[in-house]
Amino acid sequence: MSFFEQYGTFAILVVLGCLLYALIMVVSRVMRPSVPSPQKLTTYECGVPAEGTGWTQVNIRYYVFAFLFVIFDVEAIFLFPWAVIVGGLDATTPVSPMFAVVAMFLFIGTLLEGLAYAWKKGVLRWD
Amino acid sequence: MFLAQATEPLEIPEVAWSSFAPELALTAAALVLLLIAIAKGRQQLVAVPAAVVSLAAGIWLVTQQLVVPGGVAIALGLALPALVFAFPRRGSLVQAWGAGLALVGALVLTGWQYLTVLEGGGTEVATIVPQAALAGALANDGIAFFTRITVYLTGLLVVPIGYGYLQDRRINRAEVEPLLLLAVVGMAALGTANDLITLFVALEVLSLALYVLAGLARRDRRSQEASLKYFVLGAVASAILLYGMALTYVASGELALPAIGSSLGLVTTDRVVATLGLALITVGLGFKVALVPFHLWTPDVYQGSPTNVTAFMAAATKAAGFAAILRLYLVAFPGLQGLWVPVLAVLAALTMLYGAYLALVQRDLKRMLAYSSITHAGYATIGVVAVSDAGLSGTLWYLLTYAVSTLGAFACVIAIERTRGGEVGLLELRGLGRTSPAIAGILSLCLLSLAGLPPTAGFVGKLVVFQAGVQAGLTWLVVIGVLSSVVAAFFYLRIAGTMFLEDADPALPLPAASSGLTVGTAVSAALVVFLGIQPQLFLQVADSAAALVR
Amino acid sequence: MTLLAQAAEVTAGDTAEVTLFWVFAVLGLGSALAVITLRNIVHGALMLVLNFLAIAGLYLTLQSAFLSIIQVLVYGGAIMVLFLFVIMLLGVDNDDLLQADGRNRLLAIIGGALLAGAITFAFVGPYTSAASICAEEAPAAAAGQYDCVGLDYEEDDGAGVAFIGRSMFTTYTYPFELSALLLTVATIGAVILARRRDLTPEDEDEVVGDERAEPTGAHPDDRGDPDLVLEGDDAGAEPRGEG
Repeated sequence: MSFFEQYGTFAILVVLGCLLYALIMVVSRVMRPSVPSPQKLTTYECGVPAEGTGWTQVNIRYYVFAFLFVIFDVEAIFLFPWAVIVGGLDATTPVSPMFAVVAMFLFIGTLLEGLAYAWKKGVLRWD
Repeated sequence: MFLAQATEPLEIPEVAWSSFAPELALTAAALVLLLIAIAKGRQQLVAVPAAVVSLAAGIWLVTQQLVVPGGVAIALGLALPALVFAFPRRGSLVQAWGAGLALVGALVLTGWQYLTVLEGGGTEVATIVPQAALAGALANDGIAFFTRITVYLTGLLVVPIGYGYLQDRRINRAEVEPLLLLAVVGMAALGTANDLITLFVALEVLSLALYVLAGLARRDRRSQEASLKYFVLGAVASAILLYGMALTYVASGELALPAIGSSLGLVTTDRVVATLGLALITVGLGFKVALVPFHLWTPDVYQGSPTNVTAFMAAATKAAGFAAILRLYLVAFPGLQGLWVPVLAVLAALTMLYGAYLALVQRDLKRMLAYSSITHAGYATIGVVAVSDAGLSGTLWYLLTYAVSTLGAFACVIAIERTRGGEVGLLELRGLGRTSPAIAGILSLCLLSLAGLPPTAGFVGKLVVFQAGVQAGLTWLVVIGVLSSVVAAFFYLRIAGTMFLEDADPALPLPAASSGLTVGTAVSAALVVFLGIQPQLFLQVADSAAALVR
Repeated sequence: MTLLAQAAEVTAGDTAEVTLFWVFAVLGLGSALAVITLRNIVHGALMLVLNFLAIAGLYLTLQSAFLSIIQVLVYGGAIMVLFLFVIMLLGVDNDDLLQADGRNRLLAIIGGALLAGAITFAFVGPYTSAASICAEEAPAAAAGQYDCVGLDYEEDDGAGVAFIGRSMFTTYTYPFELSALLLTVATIGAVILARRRDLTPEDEDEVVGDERAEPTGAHPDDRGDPDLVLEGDDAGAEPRGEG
């Protein structure tokens, strides 16, 4: 079975999913009554009318959250190959299991210290 | 060495710990200092456990016959709670002393490494313990040794020099010392990196730390400008460098530098891709050490950054960057020598002339020193393009002398800057020799060393590098270097003349040195003189450092 | 592109790969063009997401599933979030930065064309012609003399994930741990960047040292009101030219 045949099922699933979505939307479109009015097109049907656009300037504090997300995303990427191999390690492999575990926990520990730093500096608080 | 037993995979020491012991100590110190910085009132809660761990590790090391690293671990472990106890409400003193002691420890470990690991094999200095975990990632040879010495020494001097200055400007954040230590770790790792991945990651560690340090003064627009410029241009340079590394990998199929070297020596290897990679790597590294077409960031960044950070950047980054250049070109690209030697030689010539020319017309002292640092990158490159053992050890030695001289000069700038506000122009130096002869004298001494006049360290440095250049048949380049030195000597001497021959403006406040600044400046000046008068000791080491891991 | 197409052909030789390759290649190039031509910067960023996804698809056609997942997770996810936050931080209306003058545009085009041309020239020759050193029948490759990297390393275990794991804990442990330091430094930098109230940093000394002289005129702009940082005070920012 070639590399792509393995993904054949997945591809079929994706195609079926898209078809299902399209089908539901089409059915709903066909069956529902359509009575548009300007009132219905406003953002909030009751309350204060919305002003300006939804694209406003955001606070820089969001940036730190996004940044921490990137860092731990990268950590997850590193964890994945580690998790794949660490179970299969024993005394006969070139890497000892102890070494792999210690190395990974040093890595995580260092990152956690960064997180602790950000926490203590209060960037995770929204005051 | 002591870690040769690979038969027991469950034992931890399959890693050649000794090969990166100094960096390990510094990293641990940086992380602990960062923890202490955020622990506020409960610093002993961090200090005591860290000390216990460190003591335990030290005792274990001593029982393993590793007395020196054990001693360093025990000393650092004991020092930490003592410092916290001694300066209970002065976090930045704990940080400064902790960082300083850690750097001393790293220097001790480097010396120990040199004595036991490197010299162990007789005159063949280069040894890397071929261990599973570090196989090929590190090379402990002459480049590594000299880079470590230069970088650690610079860090050690910058800590006291900058302490009072940071307080004056109210930018003595607790992050400064950990960031400084991490930058130092990155630089030392760059000096030891023996494969492309380690090289790149180490370069990024030091660059990122320096971007943050350059922008330390949040209230100062120039500092922010410096940080942003350095970051944006540095990121582009890193991207170009990474692209070059990728192309080198495509061409050679190897990541370890010695393997790349042997692969590029084969006839089957594709030259075109390798050449492109080499070109892009040259651009990227040329940016980091500020060779001329890629130097544009230097004046603004050096001028805008806090002065102690500038001193650190000027002295240490250059050493680390040249370590990477030396290793890459001499180990990985000897097969393409016909290509990069002329190119680098032309770049060196341009750098020396252009830097000296522009330094002539500067009015601001920091900016002038920035251009002077560009010029010095050119001199150091002469040793690289000489492609000889003499050139290699010459460059390493040159970087050490340049580091101590430029540190001393920047320390004097700090002393003047502390009382006279942001900018130190040439006019403000008038008559300094009369009003405060000590600072003026030391500044003149360091400038003489930068100009390359005897009996200072800079003279020996230039002599060694120029000698290597002539031996390699690059007489034209050396002539340009001498010309540039003459031009440079003019503006260095002009400063000295301004200080000693003109009358002082009585309205200007006198420079003031804090105790840390005094110590740092005095040590730099002493080193400038010592390395100038007694160069034999280090020159011998430098000569024996020429063997590389190939 | 030709290289990738050929790589796709070499690896399996059936049409699925080639079809997928062309789909992703057209998608990737088109979205990349859209990124630099769209006027609306948010739309440009979304096109960049599409570009990342297309490149992830290209990785998949090269049978590198793990790389493809990383591309989606890190670039398509995390990095794009950063991009969008920065765009929203600067304000969508601030599109005056996009006004490149003709000279810069020309320089950019020339530079890009030179780089692209050099790369194409360097790759197309040795790797895609009949004399390709990576072709199956090439003598150097057959003799194992030349290692054509990236395409057919360690076949089995999960498209090289285990291979990456093993190298991570054998050859590249040192850079792996260094990268932890890199990320920590980056965290510190981001926190310093984002912290607003700097006048009373908690980590400053409570007792100010007395062994030093009181600075008289040092850096007046170091001690202003934090809210004034971004406006006025242009004294420190006069243009500086070379010399």
